Amino acid sequence: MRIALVVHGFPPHEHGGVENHVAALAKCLARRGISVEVFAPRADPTLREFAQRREQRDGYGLTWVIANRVPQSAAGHLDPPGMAAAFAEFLDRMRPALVHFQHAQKLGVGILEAAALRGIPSIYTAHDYFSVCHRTVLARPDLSRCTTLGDSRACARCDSAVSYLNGRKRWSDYHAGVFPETLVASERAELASRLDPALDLFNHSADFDERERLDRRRKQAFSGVDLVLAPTEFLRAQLIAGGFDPQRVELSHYGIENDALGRLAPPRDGSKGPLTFGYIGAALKHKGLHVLLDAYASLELPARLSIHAGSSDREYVAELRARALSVGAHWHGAFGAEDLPRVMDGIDVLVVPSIWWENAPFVIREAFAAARPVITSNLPALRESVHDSIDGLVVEPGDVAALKAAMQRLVARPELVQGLSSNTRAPRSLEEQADELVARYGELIAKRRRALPAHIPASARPFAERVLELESHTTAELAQRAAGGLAGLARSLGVGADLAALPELEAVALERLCDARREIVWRVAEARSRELELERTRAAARDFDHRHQALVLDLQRSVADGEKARAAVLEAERELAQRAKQLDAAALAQIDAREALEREQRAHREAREALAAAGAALALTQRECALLAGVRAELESTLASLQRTASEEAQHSAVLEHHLRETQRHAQWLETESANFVRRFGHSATALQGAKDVRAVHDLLERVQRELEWRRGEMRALREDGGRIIRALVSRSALGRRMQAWERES
Amino acid sequence: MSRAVSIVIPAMGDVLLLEFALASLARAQALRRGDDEILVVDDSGEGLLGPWLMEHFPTVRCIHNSENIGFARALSAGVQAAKHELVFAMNSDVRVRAGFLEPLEAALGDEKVFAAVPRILLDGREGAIESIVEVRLENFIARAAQPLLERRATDAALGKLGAVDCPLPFPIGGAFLFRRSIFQQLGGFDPAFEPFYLEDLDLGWRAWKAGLECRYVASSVVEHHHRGTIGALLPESVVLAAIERNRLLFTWKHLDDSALLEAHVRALARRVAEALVDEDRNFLSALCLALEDRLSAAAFAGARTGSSAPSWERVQRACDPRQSR
Repeated sequence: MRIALVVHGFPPHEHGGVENHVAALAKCLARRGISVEVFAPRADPTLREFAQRREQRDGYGLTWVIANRVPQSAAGHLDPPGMAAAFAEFLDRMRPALVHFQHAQKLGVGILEAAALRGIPSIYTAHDYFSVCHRTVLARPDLSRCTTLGDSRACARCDSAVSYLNGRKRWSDYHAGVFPETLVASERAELASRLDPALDLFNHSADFDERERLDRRRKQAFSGVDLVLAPTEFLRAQLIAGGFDPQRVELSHYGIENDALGRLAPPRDGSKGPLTFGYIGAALKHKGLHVLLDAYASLELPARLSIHAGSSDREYVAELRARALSVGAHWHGAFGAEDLPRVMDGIDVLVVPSIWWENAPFVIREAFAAARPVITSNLPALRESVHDSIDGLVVEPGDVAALKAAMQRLVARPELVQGLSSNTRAPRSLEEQADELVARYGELIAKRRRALPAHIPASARPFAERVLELESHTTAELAQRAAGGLAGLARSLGVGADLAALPELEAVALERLCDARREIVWRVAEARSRELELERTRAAARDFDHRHQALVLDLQRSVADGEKARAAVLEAERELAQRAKQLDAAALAQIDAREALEREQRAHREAREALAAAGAALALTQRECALLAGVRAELESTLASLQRTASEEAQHSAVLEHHLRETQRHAQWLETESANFVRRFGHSATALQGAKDVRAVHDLLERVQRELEWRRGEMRALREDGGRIIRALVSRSALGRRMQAWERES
Repeated sequence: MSRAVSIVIPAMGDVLLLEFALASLARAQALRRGDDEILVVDDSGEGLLGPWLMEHFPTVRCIHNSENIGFARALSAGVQAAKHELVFAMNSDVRVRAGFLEPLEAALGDEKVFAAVPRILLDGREGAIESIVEVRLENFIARAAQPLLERRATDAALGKLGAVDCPLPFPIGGAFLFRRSIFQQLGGFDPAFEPFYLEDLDLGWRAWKAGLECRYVASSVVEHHHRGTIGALLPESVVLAAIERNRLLFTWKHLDDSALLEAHVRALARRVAEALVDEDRNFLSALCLALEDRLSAAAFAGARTGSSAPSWERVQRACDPRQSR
C-alpha cells in the first residue's frame, strides 16, 4: 500500500507541531511496511516555482515542491495558482493508493480536487480551521475570537479588514492579526469600522460576493475528500458548523512519540529551588505568549520562565524577546524535534496561554507524557485536553491576573505541582494512531477501488483491467517489472548472454535513477540559478573591471593632462609675465589714450550738452515763437479790435464832431438868435428865460466836448497801452533779448 | 464469371452505421449475379441486431454471439459460418462502391494470392488510401505504417503508390477478400493479439511466410467512414497499451534475425531507462503487458524458427508496396 502524506511544511525547514508530527507519522507508517511518500512545500528563491525534488528519508520518500510566492489575498490562500498542477504531477508519478492530507495551507484546496479527479481516495486531518476558513485560526484581524463561523457576510468583513492591514506595509508581518491598542487612533477606527456588523458595508458588495464564491469553492474542493479527521470534539463541531457532513467527520486523537518523554524525571516541585514554567511552541500573537510574560513579570514569588519559541512574525518575536529579557525570563528560541526531551526536562510546568480557539496542541500531550502539569486557557478544545485542578490549571484566556494567580499558586504550593503531575496520563502513542490510520486507509482503498466503466466491451475488459492495474504502479515500479522481464525475453529469443544482467536493474537502482533524474533536474535548476548568479557576478565584476580600467585610464589621462596643464601653466606664466610687461606698456598707453578719450568724451559731452542746450533753446524758441505767434495773433486781434474800436470811436467822434458842429452851428444860431432876441426884446424876463436855455445848451455842448476829449484821451491811452504791452512782451522774451543782441551785434 | 462471395461483417450495436454499409452492399450486389451472401456477426453480446436485420435486411444472415467476443473472434466466427470459399471481411463503418468485388476476385485468381485488398478511402477522400501499408522497424520495434496517410503533398517519393496494384504486407482487417480455406490453414487470427489491433498484420505476415501474398487492387474501391468504435468505448491508455503491446508481440514473433533481435532487446533495455526518466508510462505498461503475454506469443515461434520459412528480411522485401507490379 502506497500512501501520500501532504503537509504545508516539513522538517528541517519547518518545525511546527503538525510538521514534526507528520514527520514522525511517516516514519511510523513506514515501519509498518506502508510505502509513504510525503509532499511538502518549501521556499527557495533560487529555484523556479513548483520545482520538485524527491529525497529518501527514514524509510519514506519526501518530495519537496518549491513555493516561493506568498499569497496576498483570500483567493490566493485558497487556490495558489499552479500548485494543483504540481501536485497532480506528483500524484501521476507516485501513484498513491490514498492521499492523507495533513494540511492544505500554502498548497491550496486544488490539491484535494487533483486527488479526487484521479479517483484516489483521500483523508483530511483538520489540525486547525483551514477547512472552514482560510485564516486557519478563527481569529479576527483584531485578534478577537471569531464567533460567526459560516456567516459569509461576517467573513467578508474580516477579509476586508485583513485587506486593510495588508495594505499597510509596516504590518506586512502581522500574521493572525494585530493588537488594536498598538494602532494609532485613525487606524484603530478604520479596523473597527470594517469589522463592525452595524456598519454592514458588504451587502451586495464585491467583497461579500467574493467571500461567498470562496466559501463555495472551499466546500466544493473538500467535498471530494472521503473522510475528515478531527482531533477534538470541539473542532469536529466547528467543522460541522462550517458545513461539513457529520457523517464524514470523525474524531481521531493525536498520537505522539512518548517513549523518550516518559523516561524523563518528574518535574521539580519548587521546594528545592525556583519552579520553572515553560512555554514551548510558536511565538505567534494568538498563542498568547505576551500574556504569559506579563503574568510572569507580576509574580511576587521566585520562579523561572523558560521560553522555547520562534516564528516568522519577526516584529512580535523581537518585541517578546526584549520583554523576556527585561523581566528575567530565559529566551531559548526554536528547537528541533529531537531536542524536545531535553527541552521538556528543563521545565516543571508547561503554560499554554492561547487566546484563539486553540485545538489540540501536541505540546500538551508531550508535557503529559513527561508528567508535566499544564496551565492553559479556558477554551473548549483545551478543556478536552487539560482538566482543571486534576492534571493542570485552567484560567480565562488573556487574563494576566488569573494566569499570575495560577502560577503563583503552584509556586507557593509545591505539593500541588506534585499532585497535578501524578494525575497526568500518558497520551495516545503514535503507534496506536498509526494502527488506526492504517486500518482506515485499508477500508477507504477497498471501498474506492477503481472499477472499469460498464460500457467497456466484455472482450476488452480483461485487458483493460490489466492496464488499469498497471496504472496503480509508479513509473519506477513499471520500469523494474519491465527490466526484470527483459532478461527472460532475451533468453527466450536466444540473444546476448550479457543481456542476462538486465535483472540487475533492480527497483532500488531504477528508483534511484528516477530520483537521480529529478535530482539532476533540480540540480540543473540550482546550477542554472547559481550560473545566472555567477554570470551576474561575473558581469558585475567585468563591469567593475571595465569601470576600474576606465578609471585608471581616466586617471592616467588626467595625470598626463595635469602634466601638460602644468607645463602649459608655466608657459602661460611666462607668457603672462611677458604679457604683463606688454600690458603695462599698453596700460600706460591706454591710460593716455583713456585720458585723451576722456577729454574727447568730455568735449563731446560738452558739445552734446551745447547741442542739447541749443536744441532746448531751439525748442524753447520754437515754443516761444509759437507763443509769440499766438501773442502776435492775439495782439493783432486786439489791434484789429482796437482799430475797429478806434474806427468806431473815430466814426463816433466824427458823429460827435458832426453833432458838435451842428451844435456849434445851432449854438451860433442860438447866440445869433439870442443876440437877436436880446436885441429885439432887451433885457426882459423872457429874454432871461431864453438866456437860460442858451446856457443849458452851452453846458451840454461843453459836456459833449469834455466827453469827446475824454474819449480821445482814452483812445490815445489805449493806443499807447497796446504799444507798450507789445513792446514789453517782446522786450521780455528771449527773442527780444536775441533781437537786442542782434541789434547790438549788428 | 464471378464466383460467389460470403461477405462477413462483425458489428457491435450501431445500426445506423450498419444500415449504410448494408445499403452500399445492396447497391453493389444488384449488379452481380451469383450466390453471394451477407453475414452479420452480432458482437453486441445482447442480440441487438437480429430483429433489426430481420426487419430491414431480411436476406442478411445474422450470427449472434451470446457475449461480446471482439473483432477477430467475431470475424473468425463469420468465416467459419460462411458458405463460400471467398470471404470478404468488412467492418460496419465501411461502404463499398459498385464493382468493388470483381477486381478483388480477379486478383485471387492467382493461386499465390491469399488476400486482395481494395483501395480503402478514409472518409471517402480520394487521396487518403488506408490500405497501402508497410512494415518498418522503428527503434528495432515493428510498426505498421500507412504512408499515404502520413505523406505530405510534396512527398514525390511515394510516386504513384496507390494508383496501381502492388504487394502488401497485410490486408487491413476492415475490408479484404481472402480464401477461407487458407485463412483456416493459417490458423486464423492469433488470439495473442486480442483484444484488438495488429492481428491482421500478423495474419498477413504469416501468409507471406507461408509463401502466399497479399495484394492491393487499385481498381476496387471502398470507403471507410471511421467512427473509432474502440476509441469511443475504451480509455485511451488501454488502446495505446494494446497497440504498443501488439507491436512488441509481433516483433518477438516474427523478427528472426539474431543481430536485429539482439539490437531489439538492447533497444528495449535502453528504452526502459529512457521511459523511466521521461515518465513514459505508456511504453512501460505495454512492455510489461507484452512480457506477461510472451509465453502465448512464443507458441507461434515455430513460424519464426521454421527452417523453410522466408526470413523477416525476405518477407519485408517481398511485401514492400513500393515495388508495384
